[in-house]
Amino acid sequence: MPDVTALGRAAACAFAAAALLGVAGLRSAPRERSLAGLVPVAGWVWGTVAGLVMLRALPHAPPASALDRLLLILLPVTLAIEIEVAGGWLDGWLLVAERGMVALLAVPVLLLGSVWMAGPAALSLGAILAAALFLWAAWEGVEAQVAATADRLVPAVIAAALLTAGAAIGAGGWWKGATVAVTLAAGLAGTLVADLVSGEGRRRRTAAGLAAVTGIGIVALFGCVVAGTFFGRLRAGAAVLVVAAPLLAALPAGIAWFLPESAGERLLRSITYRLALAAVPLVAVLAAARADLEALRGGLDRPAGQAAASGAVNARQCHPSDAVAVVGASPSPR
Amino acid sequence: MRRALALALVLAAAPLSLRAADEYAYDGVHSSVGFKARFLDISWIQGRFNDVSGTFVLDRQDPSKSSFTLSIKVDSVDTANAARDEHLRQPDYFDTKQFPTIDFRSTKVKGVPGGYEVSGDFTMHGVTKPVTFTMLGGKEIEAMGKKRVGFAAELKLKRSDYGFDPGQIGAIGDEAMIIIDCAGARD
Repeated sequence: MPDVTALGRAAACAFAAAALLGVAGLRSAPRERSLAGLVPVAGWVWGTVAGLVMLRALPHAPPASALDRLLLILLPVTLAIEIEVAGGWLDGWLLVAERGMVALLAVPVLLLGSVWMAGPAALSLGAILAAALFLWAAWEGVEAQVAATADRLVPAVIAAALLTAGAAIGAGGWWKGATVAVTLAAGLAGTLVADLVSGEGRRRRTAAGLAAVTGIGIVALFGCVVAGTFFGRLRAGAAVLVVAAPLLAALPAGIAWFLPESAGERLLRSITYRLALAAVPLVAVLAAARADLEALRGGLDRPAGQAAASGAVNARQCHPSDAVAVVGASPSPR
Repeated sequence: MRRALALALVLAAAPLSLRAADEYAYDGVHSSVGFKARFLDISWIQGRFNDVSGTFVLDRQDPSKSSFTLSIKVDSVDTANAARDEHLRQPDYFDTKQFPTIDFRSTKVKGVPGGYEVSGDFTMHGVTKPVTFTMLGGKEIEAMGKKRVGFAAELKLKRSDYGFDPGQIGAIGDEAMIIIDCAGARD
């Protein structure tokens, strides 16, 4: 069974490593914005690698599994693009083209060589194009908003969504998938805390870095959710809700500004609305994950012959078409 | 005259040589491919794969011309516990969506007393490694309207050699035994 204590220690290590590098980097960062913007990105990468090393969960090369391809291909390519964004060296159509290319290739890269790529070509192509369009739009829209407003709530919700995805994937029985998502979440949280405690003056210089971290976070969350749905037992409904959380936190950012209140009240109300909107789907997914974990544990402890009879666990195959399995429902007949 | 006699002998021997290699299809009803692995180093967990296919080509006159292929659908894993089976299908273990089959294809067959020594490529979890094991049996009988042959073999391997997640090797031991008891049939 999974060692939750070890995961907790590794998450704490990822958080601390990212936070320490973030604080140290921001304190000694040069005044030049292009270099200061790289500090949050470096902090997250450092924290995540530290956590994965501690858990001995580093990817295998050459990458054979979806998780290996996420960590060795998809995220490094995204990182390369976002480093250019953080440094202010890339914008305009070239940036759109690079992001579009990654979005288009994300799903095929994650599903490469699996049974999913052997399905009906038209269906696969349609699903891939839809997923690519969604990823590209979310990536562009959310990151543009963070870049414009230096909004820290959206990356914080991405960290919470990664944590929730990890919990749901782990509750379904895929422990390594859970550890990767939780470690990514812890590293991102450490980076954000470092940014928060570094003072307003320094934070202004790292706004581009924060936007870059948000962009990597969107792709990381998308990758974890796709891998969890297609290779683990993450329910399609839970996957949709987890990905929706940061979008819900981002969408109404400007709505509260039209309310007839003072600026302080409007800010507070805006944050409250957005937090509440993002929290609802995540709490629902966590509640369903807890029920799933109890069902899995009960099923594993049940002697032969009783598991099938009880109906607590059946031979449910995780299939994306299982979209009707809305989270929050009873764990049976899963 | 001598040439004609030689040609006649060759032609007469041809059906014999064709018959020498018999092809049998894996008989799923009378066969099983099972496995066992240590649990916490105190006991054994046993299971089986329910969906297996394959062929055996047996050349009894020249065993080196014989061949064996076996393909196991990993999704059919069955340990008499549905929750555990689902767990085993996930990427921490077999990763059946990424690696849907376990395959064996012989590359060299040698006749030994009581059966055949078979060498070949064993592919599991996306990793192919050469293995050699003894398949005991091979005697043909005729029953239920078909010619039948049976074999038994055991194959010991380490999961860590086949790219299984080292983080999941602990409660379930690294070493696993594959137990093949199979029958083949031909018309």
